[in-house]
Amino acid sequence: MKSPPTSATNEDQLTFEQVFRQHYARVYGLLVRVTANAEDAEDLAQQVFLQLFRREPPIWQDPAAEGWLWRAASHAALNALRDGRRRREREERAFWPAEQLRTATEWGEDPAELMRRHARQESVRMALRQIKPQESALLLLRHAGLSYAAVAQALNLNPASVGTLLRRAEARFKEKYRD
Amino acid sequence: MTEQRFDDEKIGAALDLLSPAMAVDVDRAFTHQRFLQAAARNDTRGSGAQRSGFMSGFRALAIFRRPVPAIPVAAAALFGLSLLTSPMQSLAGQVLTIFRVQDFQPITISTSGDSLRGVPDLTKFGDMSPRSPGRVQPEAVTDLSAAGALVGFPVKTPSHLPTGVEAQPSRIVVTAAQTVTFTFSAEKTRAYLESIGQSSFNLPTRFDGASIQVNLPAAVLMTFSPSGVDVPSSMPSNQASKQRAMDSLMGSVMIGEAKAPTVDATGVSFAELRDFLLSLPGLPADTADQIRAIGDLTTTLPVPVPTGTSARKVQVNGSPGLILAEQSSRLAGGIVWQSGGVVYGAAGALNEADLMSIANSVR
Repeated sequence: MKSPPTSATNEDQLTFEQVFRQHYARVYGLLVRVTANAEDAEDLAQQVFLQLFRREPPIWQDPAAEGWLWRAASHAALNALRDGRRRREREERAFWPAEQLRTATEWGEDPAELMRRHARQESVRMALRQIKPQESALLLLRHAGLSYAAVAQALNLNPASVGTLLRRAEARFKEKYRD
Repeated sequence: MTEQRFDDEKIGAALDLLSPAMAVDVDRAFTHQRFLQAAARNDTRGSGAQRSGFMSGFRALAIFRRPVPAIPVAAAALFGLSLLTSPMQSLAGQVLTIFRVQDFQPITISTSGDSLRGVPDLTKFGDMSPRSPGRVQPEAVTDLSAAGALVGFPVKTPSHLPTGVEAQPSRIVVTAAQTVTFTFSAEKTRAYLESIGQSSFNLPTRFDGASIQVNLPAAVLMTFSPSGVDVPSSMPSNQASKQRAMDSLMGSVMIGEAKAPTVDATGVSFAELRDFLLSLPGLPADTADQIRAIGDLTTTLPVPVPTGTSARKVQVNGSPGLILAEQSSRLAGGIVWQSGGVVYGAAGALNEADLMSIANSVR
């Protein structure tokens, strides 16, 4: 393993860049699912990577960095899920469709189709908000492709219990979800 | 997705619905990350403020999201305030250069210059030629020597730049020289004063036909960007591309250089011109006082500084300059200085110490 970097030189940036490029889209993907807002998700994802970059002693060159990254991302997601319960009711209805419609118009999408998609997404989010934040996080991390072991590490759970917890989360989600 | 992730596929399908509508732009995200890393380093080097680390970095970006970076602001200041304070010692009928920048003085303007809106613009008192100055389109040039040929002096570059920023400019543009002539008209003034019912203010008789000429030499603007960042040569019109273009400027440093602007005048004296401009109806008393307090107006350029921005006089390689910083973040700022008849400016999402090192390394 390389000696830990004390400051970011161009060479270090390249290596960190590889780590960033490898994981950013998935971390962002997780956070956009819970925040329902591209800018919020980017801010959170950027902070996760910034924390990784600034961690002392440095770990981003370590293979364990991925585990740390998902743990930090899950922490951000859980906070967003908890915040979201309070905040979303106020903001989202007005903001999210408006933002989406603006973007869609720029990209030449059909606004009616967009509103239908928004309605479908809304029912998924509604269900995710009605179950426990940890259950939502379990489902989303699993959906992002993490193994049971990785999910356990990210959420600080006993690996042996992940299967049971996941099945319970699935059941609770299905109870609440109306497609 | 190859493996079975949920017992019931309906759950996977439901969560698929939440996928981002647009592909994630990892290039843009990484540029942003690099900027945040630089901002976070700056923050810990300075005193305190660690807690708000990256958030203040985010706020600093606001400056670059606005389409007016610090250099054009300085250029606008050069133009606007040259007119407002042009000093002179001329003889009637003879054109003399009455103003040449040697020093800078900050003038605090409350609420981003809104307080100057009450001041009638000079065109109410005469004619401006060309009618709408300042609409010069910058032209991209290929290298520094081409830029030097256009601006009329060897273009200097900084030897010190933030980590990761390339030593060669990613973009060089030159704006052509312009001359703006303003001729006072007694008739126009009378018509304007009548239209606003103003009687306490008048244009001195001698001003009729007197003129002032502002010479803005050609200027070069260089953008130094982090490696791998593409700065478009012109601002795209499409909204998404525009955001991308602005983002590409986030980690960049901009350096502008131009021969010092000059002001010539015919027919009126310096004292008359100054008194006239300071007596304009609507000019806030504290602004007028600050301008009056400037010792030598024939060599000192007043630079308007909006509240919320701090300004401090500094020395760059022994020459006088002025450093401006956004107070809330202490991370976005600009610096102007003059040396050997050339006015230099540098701007970026940088703290004062970094801006100073960059300015001092321009040789």
